[in-house]
Amino acid sequence: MISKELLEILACPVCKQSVELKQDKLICQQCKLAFPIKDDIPVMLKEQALPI
Amino acid sequence: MNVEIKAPKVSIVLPTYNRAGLISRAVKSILEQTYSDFELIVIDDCSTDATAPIISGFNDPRIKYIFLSKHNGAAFARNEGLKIAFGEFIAFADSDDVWLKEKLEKQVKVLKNAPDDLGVVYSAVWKVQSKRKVFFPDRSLGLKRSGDIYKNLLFGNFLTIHVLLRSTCLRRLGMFDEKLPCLQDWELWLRLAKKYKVFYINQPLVLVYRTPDAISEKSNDFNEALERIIKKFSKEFLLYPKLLAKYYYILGRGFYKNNNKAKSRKYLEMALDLSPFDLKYMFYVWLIGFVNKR
Repeated sequence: MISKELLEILACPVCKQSVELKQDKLICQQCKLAFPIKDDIPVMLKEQALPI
Repeated sequence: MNVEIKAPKVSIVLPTYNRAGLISRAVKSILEQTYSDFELIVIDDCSTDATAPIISGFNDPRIKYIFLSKHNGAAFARNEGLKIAFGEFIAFADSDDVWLKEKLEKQVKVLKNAPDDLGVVYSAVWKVQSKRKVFFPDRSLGLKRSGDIYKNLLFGNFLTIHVLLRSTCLRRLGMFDEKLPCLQDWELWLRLAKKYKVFYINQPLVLVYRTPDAISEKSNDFNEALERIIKKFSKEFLLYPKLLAKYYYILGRGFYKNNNKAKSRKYLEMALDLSPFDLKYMFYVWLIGFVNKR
């Protein structure tokens, strides 16, 4: 699980806005992207994100 | 359902900030290691350049990448990496530097076969300065490099950042001191070396590049950090009055450069107190007295 503390200091690398945790993915509402989480560590790369 | 995730043996923590031009070289050297059971945690300290697409281009499942919403400096970024690191062993990388192919393999082999009281392994490095390669640590110094090196480490950080250590050590002793503007690695190695044995591999396994905007070049930060470390380990430094005098002298000159005459005078006088017959310290105390009168 991603901790609340970590979530608070992360930002979307594309638009620099905050991200939220939803069903094991990090969501950027602005860019409409869902970043995957592998072994409890986010992979915040646009190319590996899924559109929402 | 219990899904067991097999943790990689090594977590490599790589902080980076606006190094789009260099990060590729560093990451490539890590991914091409002969030892491959690792995760590479890249902590992007809020870069404003094209770092993210460059990391993406590697397309390697061992890479994890997080992007921080604020720029906080390398110690903070490294600590965030440590908090999520999974591995039994931890390695630190630097976006300016290049690991030689066997770096991880050689260090892992030592730590795997060593008793638990050996917490840290490091190796020699090549320091690349204007295309010249300099062997580091300096062979001529003759300091003890392995075993209980705590006291030797007071004389300076000869471990560099490229160590491999047991994650249990950090759980016990804590992470990097974020209040230090630089020299955070030296301070953490001092804490580690006080409790654990250290092993030195006498072969350069990393190319360490110095770039002009590296934080260690900022003298104000350096003075502040050195001051804090001396205070933190004052009991030990007092065992070596000549060394302490040298650090006071460095602080005296450093604060003088930054126009903090009061602090400069204080440290130069403290240096002279500890080493009363040192002509250099005498000269500088006289000089600053002379400048202050004018």
